[in-house]
Amino acid sequence: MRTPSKQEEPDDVSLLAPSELVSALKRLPQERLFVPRAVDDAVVRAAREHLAGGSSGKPQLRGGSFSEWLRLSISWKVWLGASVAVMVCAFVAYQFFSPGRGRTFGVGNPFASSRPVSETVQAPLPGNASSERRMDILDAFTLARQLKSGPVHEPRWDVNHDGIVDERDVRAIAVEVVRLDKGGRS
Amino acid sequence: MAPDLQVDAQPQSQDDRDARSDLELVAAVNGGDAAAFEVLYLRYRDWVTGLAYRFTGDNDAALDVLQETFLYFLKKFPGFRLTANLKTFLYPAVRNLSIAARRKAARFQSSEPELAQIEQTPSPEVTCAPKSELEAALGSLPEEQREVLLLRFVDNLKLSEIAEAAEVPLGTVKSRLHNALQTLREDPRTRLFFDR
Repeated sequence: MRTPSKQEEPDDVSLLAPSELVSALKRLPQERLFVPRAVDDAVVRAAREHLAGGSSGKPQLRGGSFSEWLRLSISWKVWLGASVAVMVCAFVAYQFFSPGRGRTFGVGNPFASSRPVSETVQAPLPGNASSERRMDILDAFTLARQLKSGPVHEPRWDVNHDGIVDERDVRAIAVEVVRLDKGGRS
Repeated sequence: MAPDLQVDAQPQSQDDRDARSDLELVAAVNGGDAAAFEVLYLRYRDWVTGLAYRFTGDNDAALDVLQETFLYFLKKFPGFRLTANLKTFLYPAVRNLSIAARRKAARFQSSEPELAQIEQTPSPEVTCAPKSELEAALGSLPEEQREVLLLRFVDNLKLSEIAEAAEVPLGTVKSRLHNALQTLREDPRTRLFFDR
């Protein structure tokens, strides 16, 4: 005798099962798995916290599985690490490639002169044998770079003595360097 | 079933005293009623556990899947809309979590290439020593046919609900059920059911 279940589609005879078979199938899972009270309590507790709005938005099982905690913590750390790495890269790039700025830690463009205009280089007077050191083409580059950042007011850079430190002083230094070099070689 | 299954000795669940339908309970949970969620949990706890055990074959794994399933269900609130039998919603969650649990358990014992075979490995019902000829016959069925058969006649899901739960077309469900019944009809161990 077939089981005319209320769930079956009409006229689908091939999908009917004998009632004896259905009864036998239903008897199979009679022995149920024991669920410890702690499991029930954990689920109910999570529900109360989540539905009461006491959690941070995501329901969690207290003492939930280690794998769940590990997955959450790893994802948090990955994001934090990535953010820090991006910030460090941005800072380093700014330090190295910004034109004259960003020298928070005295780091500048390694491809440019490392001598700030305001220090050290005592731009000697051309041809002055008693100068601290001889001028070279790097002085011209240094002055040119500083002029791009802003006005330079150091009088010693006013090589042409016109009262202004500008690109004409850069040209003057370059010319003088070439002249001195030629003179040195001749 | 596995020999180490314990007979459930727990007292009658609170659910037995609550006459509200699943729809009413879901509405209550959406309103923040944690007690309503507890009723739903107790109402489906044993079914979820049994289903998880069917997939995993391990007591502890089944309990983990039970927790994870209801945690997944809880995250749907507020705002969850019950559009079908709740088993239809829970079934794919239990299945996927069970597969993940089996994969995790196998990872500790298998090399990486073997992991690819985990999902093809028959569920533990096939590998456990059957207690009856019916169980043996069921064990010889392909897993997808066995699942459809049990969902239909043990869990009382409609074919459309099975299709939705298993995420396959209705035609596929019908085909699997037809083939499962045909196999049992031809199996000497279960032919008697059809000849009566």
